Amino acid sequence: MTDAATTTDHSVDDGSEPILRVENISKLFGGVHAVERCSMKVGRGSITGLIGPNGSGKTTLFNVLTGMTQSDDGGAYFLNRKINGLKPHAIFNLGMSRTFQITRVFKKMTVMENLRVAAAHGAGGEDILERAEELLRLFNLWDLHDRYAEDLSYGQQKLLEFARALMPDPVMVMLDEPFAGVNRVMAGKLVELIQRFQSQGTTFFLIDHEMKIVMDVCEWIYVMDFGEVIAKGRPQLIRENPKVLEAYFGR
Amino acid sequence: MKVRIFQATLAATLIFFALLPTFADRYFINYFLLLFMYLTLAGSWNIITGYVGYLALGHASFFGVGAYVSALLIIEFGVFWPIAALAGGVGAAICAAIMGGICLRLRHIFFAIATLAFSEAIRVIVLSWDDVTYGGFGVSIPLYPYLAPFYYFMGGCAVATVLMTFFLARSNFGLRLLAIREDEDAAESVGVDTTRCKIIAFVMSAVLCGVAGGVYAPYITYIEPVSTFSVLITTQLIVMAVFGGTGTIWGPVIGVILLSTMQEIFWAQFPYLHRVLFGALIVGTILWMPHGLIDVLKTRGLLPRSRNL
Repeated sequence: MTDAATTTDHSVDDGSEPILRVENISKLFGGVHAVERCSMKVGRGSITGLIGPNGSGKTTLFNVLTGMTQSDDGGAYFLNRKINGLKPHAIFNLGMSRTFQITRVFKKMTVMENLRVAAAHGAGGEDILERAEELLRLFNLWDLHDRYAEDLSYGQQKLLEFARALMPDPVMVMLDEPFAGVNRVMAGKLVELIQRFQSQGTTFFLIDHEMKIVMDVCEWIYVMDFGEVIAKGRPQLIRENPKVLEAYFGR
Repeated sequence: MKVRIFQATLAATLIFFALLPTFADRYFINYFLLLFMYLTLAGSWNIITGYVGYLALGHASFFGVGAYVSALLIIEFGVFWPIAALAGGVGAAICAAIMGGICLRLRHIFFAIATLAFSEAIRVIVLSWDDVTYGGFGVSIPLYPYLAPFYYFMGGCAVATVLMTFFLARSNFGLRLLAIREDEDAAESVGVDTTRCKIIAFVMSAVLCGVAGGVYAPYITYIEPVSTFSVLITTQLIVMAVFGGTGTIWGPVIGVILLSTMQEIFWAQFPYLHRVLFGALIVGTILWMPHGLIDVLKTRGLLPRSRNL
């Protein structure tokens, strides 16, 4: 395996070993191809984006990759291990965590408890609390650590969910629309956090509609439409790709 | 300071109940023995329904299985009753592991219906398998001539239930259960092996019910399927736990104490109307405090919003 971490270019077209390989994944919902023969690679240490119009199958693909939905065909490999067919908690324990399109924090649990529950298995009590405090301070949530998650604003819940995903020090984080419904300042904060953790070696794979941010943040982008990958490449190429423009504006 | 007062009250209560058989009338010993039994049942049920959020309607069967295992061990093999009672707990645990393995695949109301059906199935098995269980004739257990040992054993079950809930509420395992209650799919996605956690919690919520049944059988000296597996036992413990507050440590305790006392008074004062009054109380609870007394006190600011209550 080549050591991708030492290369400055994180995209996968340089021949380095991808951290996530998606090979011909298909998912049918009663005859409708939500995802059709999708293939993708996410480079180790990269920030990779997945965009596409509503209903193009992005979230379904994320659900397949995180074990929340079972694929009908194809294979997904994370750190060279087949992950489709595994349960979500098993995939999480391999080092892949996620957030949700509509935040799913545990509302009747405190901010601190939300993080503690996501701690890596086998971590000691003290280590868990230290890690949680470090993350909460970084996310400006420390002052709220003993509040119930339901008392937080939507933006704060979004931050909390992101912090929770980072709790076990995952290899890769899947973010499903991290910028949806948050204001500009908060979006800037999220970008800063994503880049900070990327610089420490975490890989990010994210879905979003906020084209400008996706183009700025991601090094490599996949575009889906009607369940298929219609384009892939660096942001500047994606921006000019006629197929992408048609998918977004053409109909 | 408040913690001190609480601890002192708790210690005084425990000492009072420990000494009770030395001075009290048999009526009170019997009364508190049954109260301890309901503390055990309601507190145990609270683990799966209050903490994990799965409405279980089959807890009478754990009680019944415990009672039958204990009774049959005593009469067939001459096992000493405290050991038979513990074996009843093991029987209930095995029963819960099987029931949980099947029913916990279902969620919401479907789980509730499945547990109800499962417990009815167990009752029918006990009723018809008369070679082993003596069927509808029931089982008579020779009288053990002392009352206090039953009282202490049942008290021990109640204390064990509260302690188990207390440690659960503070543990990481307990947090995983709460996460399942809040959002099961999200819990899976943050590494909680939900199936395994749910089955463990279900077994935990059954084992002391089985022990309580195992003590009840030699105490009452006669058991038969209809009353031992009665749905009334399940509804009774649910009403008590809900009245005090599910998902809390002390809710079921308070619910059991208040409602058993009230029932005792109603029953003595209004021999014909007491069931009606009790029914009205249930309706009132659901209408005005669906989350129970503890929750009302917490929202009024009379109790802190702590997991340790």
